[in-house]
Amino acid sequence: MRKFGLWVSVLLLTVFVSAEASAQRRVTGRVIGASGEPVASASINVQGTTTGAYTAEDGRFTLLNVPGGAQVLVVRRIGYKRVNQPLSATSDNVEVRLEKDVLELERQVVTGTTTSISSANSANAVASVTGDQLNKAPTPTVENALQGKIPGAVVSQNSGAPGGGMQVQLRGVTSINASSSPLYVVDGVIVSNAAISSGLNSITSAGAGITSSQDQQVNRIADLNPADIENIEVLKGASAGAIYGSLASNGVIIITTKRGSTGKPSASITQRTGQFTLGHKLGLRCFGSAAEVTTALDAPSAAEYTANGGACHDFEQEFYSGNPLSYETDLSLRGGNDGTTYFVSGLAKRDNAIQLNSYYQKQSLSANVSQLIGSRLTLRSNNEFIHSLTDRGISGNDNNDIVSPGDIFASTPTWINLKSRLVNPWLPSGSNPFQNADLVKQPEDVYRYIGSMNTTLSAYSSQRQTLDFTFIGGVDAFSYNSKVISPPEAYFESNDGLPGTIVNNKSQNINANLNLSGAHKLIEDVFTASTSFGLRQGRRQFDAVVNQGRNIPSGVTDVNFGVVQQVNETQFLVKDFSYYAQEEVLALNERLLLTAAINAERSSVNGDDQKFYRYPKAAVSYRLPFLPKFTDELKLRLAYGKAGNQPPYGFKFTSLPISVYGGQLGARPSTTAGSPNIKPETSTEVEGGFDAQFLGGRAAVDVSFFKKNVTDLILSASVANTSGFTTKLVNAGALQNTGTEIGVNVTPIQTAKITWVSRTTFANVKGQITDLGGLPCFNGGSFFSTKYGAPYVCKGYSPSTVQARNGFDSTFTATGAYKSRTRHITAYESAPKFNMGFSNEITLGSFRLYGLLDWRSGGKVANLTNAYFDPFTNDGTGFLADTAASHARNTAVNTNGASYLEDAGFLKIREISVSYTLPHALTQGLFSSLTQDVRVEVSGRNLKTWTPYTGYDPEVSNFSNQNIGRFQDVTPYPPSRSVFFSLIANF
Amino acid sequence: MTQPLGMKPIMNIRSFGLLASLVLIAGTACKDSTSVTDLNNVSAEALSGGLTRSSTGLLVTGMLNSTRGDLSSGYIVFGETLARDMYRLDNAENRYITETIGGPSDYSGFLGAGVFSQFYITVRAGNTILNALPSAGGLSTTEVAATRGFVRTFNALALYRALEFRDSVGIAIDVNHKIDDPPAPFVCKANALASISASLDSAATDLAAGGAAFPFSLPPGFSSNGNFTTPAAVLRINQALKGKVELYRGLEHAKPNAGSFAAALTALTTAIGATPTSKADLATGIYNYYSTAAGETRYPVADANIYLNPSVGDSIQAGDARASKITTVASKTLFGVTSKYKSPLTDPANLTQPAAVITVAEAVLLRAQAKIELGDLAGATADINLVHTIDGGLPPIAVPATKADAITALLYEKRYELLASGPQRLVDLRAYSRLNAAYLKKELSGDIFQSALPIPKRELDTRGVTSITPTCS
Repeated sequence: MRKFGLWVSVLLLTVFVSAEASAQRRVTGRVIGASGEPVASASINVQGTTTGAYTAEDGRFTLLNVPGGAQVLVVRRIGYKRVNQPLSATSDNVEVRLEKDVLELERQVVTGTTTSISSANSANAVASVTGDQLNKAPTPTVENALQGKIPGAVVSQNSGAPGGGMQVQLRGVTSINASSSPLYVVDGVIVSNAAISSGLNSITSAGAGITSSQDQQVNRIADLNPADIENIEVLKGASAGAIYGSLASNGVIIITTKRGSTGKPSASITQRTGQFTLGHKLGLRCFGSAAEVTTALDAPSAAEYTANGGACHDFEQEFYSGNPLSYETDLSLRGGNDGTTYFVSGLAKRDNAIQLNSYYQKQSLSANVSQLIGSRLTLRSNNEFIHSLTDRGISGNDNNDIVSPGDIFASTPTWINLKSRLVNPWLPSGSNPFQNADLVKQPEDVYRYIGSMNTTLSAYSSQRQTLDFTFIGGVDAFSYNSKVISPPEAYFESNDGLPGTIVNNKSQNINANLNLSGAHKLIEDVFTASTSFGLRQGRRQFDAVVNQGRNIPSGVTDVNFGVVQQVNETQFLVKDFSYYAQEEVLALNERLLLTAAINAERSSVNGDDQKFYRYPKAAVSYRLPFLPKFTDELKLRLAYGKAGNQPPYGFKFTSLPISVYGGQLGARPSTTAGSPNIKPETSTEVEGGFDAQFLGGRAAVDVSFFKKNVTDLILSASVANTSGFTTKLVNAGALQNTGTEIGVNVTPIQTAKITWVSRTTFANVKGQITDLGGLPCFNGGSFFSTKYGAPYVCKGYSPSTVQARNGFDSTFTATGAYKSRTRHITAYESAPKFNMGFSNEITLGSFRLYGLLDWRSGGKVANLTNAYFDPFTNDGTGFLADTAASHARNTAVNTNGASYLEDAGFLKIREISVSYTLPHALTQGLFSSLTQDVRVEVSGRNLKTWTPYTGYDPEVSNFSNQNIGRFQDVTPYPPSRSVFFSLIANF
Repeated sequence: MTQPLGMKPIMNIRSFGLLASLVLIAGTACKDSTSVTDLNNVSAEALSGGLTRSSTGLLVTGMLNSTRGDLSSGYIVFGETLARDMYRLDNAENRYITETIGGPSDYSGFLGAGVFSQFYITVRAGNTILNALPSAGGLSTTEVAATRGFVRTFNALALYRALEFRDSVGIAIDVNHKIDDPPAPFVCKANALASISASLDSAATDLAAGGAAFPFSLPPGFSSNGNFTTPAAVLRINQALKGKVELYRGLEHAKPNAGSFAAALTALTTAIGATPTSKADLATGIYNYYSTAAGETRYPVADANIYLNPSVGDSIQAGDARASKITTVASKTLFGVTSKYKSPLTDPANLTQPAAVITVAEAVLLRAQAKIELGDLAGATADINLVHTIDGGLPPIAVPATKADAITALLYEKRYELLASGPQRLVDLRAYSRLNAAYLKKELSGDIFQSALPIPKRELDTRGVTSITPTCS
């Protein structure tokens, strides 16, 4: 604290001594668009001073205290290109004409908690997605909408179940056993992206315990309402995100919600209706004759086939279709006057997903209000209240008994009428997915509040200097209540001797953070210096109480009815504290930007919870003054920074597991050795590149190269099991990611009638584990076996390596008896070679056509779904329609020792939409005279995929919440495609 | 925030008050404690003050709970599947068939890498007690001896169980080391058995000097069938295990140990005590106790997917009372295996039936095996008949003409007496070289009659090797 006080004093002193005075005047003016229409909310600044103003609704502005002599006015507005308008010494009235910035090249880029800089000067490749780009095609949850739009981001998912469950990975694998999620910051509040296990495991037994990471968790960032988002900025690595310290190593995703604006109130109503359909069918086998059944299975089966009339039920069609329409209604209102601005919105949506009786329902209410008190104090309060209710049904991995639909289809011949809800004669318990879908309820009910109070005090302001203090207090609190209600009537429930299961999961999560910062700006003739400093305190708290009751009477929903009870509580509490300071100097006529910053942070999860770990950052960017022909701008940039990744809660402790035997307490030493000295992983990133604009803003290219070294890797390292330990938690080893990201944005056509905007992104990452701290190589994370494909952590290999079986040599004795076998294990790369996104938007009068193609080249997925279907019959032809392929795989895998790895590259039509703006006259006639514009839109998501992958979808993984091993496909909830019709009216 | 303002005093009182209060909040924030304890677990530091009477009891119960867990589903199912008694036909997991009788098991999957680490976790639980005993406070010398003898006996059991599955592959024995020490070497079966036998001897000496009572109480399974809660009674368990170990030391193919059969005979006779005359006498022994109460463990093979090999149902002699362990159900074919028999021992509704660790019945049959090897076929037959008549309810058999016939009679008795209780039949078929197509039906074309599970990949990886040849002295 003492240091902080010193900082403040020095700054205040600077303010006192630099007093200046000169002749001043009043300037008025107007800002208009290309066709003369007024441009509201444009900012006008007198270059080299702090003097500025915003335009009103009619485009007019008034500048007081403009220094005498000739000046330059800098006029900016998002969506328009910046204009530097000369103002002569005698002029006191100007008109400024802005041109549309169709490529959105001009924007503000976040550099700190309260500071930002023009993208023209930014020293980092900060990807930005506007609310408009986000909502081009209706999206179930916000992460869906990021797919294919951010170079360097790979989005994977646990399953295709409704309501989210996706994971964003920025610039490759950045950790093995610490957190894998980027940091999400909403309006200055660090929000939770927790993935909570519902307790589905109690009926699937996919893993051990009441809950499991295989419970198809939703990553809770999915709660946000995409329609409330103004802008998303993605700081991809340490060089941009150093200011967030030990939370930023996986990148930072900064979400800004919409705010009010002065002027008359405007409202927007969006009504969407659509349908989800199964994206891709595996194709199930229809048996042609009793003889075929006898060959594949046996004579009794053939008799059963004949008794069922040789029927062929398309289980996939029957189970994954016929859902009712989905809808979404968005309402928003924004406006403001006299220092007050507001944005209020509401959302109600229901996605009826493809699997029988599964759905996702969400309502949200937001109110963002800003009030200017006096002339120096601004209070802003952002509030979002969200309720979501999801029933994702049963899917994914299962063990005992068979409940996952994919697993049941893999072991039930199509002549059985499962749709009848009758006992399935092919499973010991009679498990029938249709009956399960009717009887087993799994509601996940989330109430969430994300709110912040942002107070900015303009402590001092002069022609040359400003000093602002900002206080942000924020909270993200949610209560997750899930139930699994599986009544004793469900056939599979009889299987474990305890018919009927109820799981009650009550989880509370609270993130609170407090941010106090100061920003000082000094504008001199030759440079502008921005100093910011501050402190941040964070607290994250989680408590889950999960009750399980088994052997329950029919018709009850309370867990206490269970004859056999089990309870589990898991909590964590993390306290973080950091100081930071940053200096940005913009010099040489705004051509050169120099940045230096440092963040010092401590956290309760570190072994030494008092120690401050330092995360410095330095960056330089330079806009070249001499440009080649046709080039408007060429900026070179280089940035360096460090960020950390905190140890997961509890890694520093070695516990004494307690058990009960015959009513007596027992204890046995833990098989995991904690590390009392555990510290954060450190990610050091260097990023360089250039941004160029050509042909008067018609084309822009940005190219970035990065090299990132992550040291002190937090490893959950395997220990020789014969020691009686299984794992030790250590800081050991390092990995390195290098990559290239390219964005090419062009406007091939830009006329009064037609605009065509085309964007192409390219990204590749090459990762390598450069050191393992002397540890031997191991299969890390959750996996099934190298028989299918297991994540492999080894020096010299990529962290996304998959180790899989690849044949074997058997030795036999002289008499032909089996003696031994030598296995062949091969390392493959599971990550794609590169990702590309192609988006095109053509506006032709009132029509707009938009499409986004997402191409992933290379990569592997272990298709365990085939491992369920293929070996089912005696002749190795399996239960899939393509019996020849099954037979070939069976031979390859079960006879010749190959694995189930498949090529997982794809090309997807990620988003496509056509919209039409109704003629103004018609709109006014049809609706109300207040109506500004009404648009109708038809849009689709994931409509078509081209891939050699034979499973449902190469983007699905049973374990995609872990850093490594996101390539394991186990009878998932199949991903769907969707088509929505929307009506959007603005008033 | 750009404001169209000229020079003003640096701050008005109200603003200053606000700033001051913010600084105050931040200042208060700094004073918050920086540490957070482990909210979810008891810290291992709870034991750092040395062993007391109560913490000894806590750790012994923890070790026994680990021992209870060692008799896991995998221990029984893998063992009984490799011995062709039991098939787990699970649509969700073909590896129960494809990697047992369908071909060699995968050293990275749950089966080939299974039934391994659990035993070493138990051994470490035991070693933790043994290492702390010399400095234990509040325990008398005899109590220390009793505890040491007890723990060593169960450590020996855990290692023996590890060896049952790894057999010729070898196991690690000298494992009482710190986590960062080099891993213990793998030793061959003969060495492992010798070492386990020596450990049991040392435990026997301690138990004999252990006084009248243990300084801790034991779970219900130690007093449900006979009373095994005193050092003297646990010595009988120790001797039963000693006899078992010695028998297989004698039957070891590569390095059979002379004198082992005689040692087995002596130990088993001590363990059996008075000749059993009733079912209760044969059932005397120690059992795992199971419960559905919170935190407790349930019977491990209550499992609707478990079927018996058809030959179990087809080969039982008419009138054998142990037919009650077999029920006929609808035929099921899966992955090329067909069965129509199940067992009440694997009834999914039966979650709390006790599971035997070792009983007088098993000791009697082990003694019969020792007698066969010692050439005492008549004595062996007498032992076989004890079980055959009391539990089987059948007339006694005549003394077989040959050793091979005696072994066949013995294997029949053991099969039905110890059905679904562990890998005993696997161990016997292996020891008598009967784990092959000459004696057993080859169910699947890929069946290689594998006799042992491989060293888990994880164990090889952590040692930085791709194979291990056990050392043999």
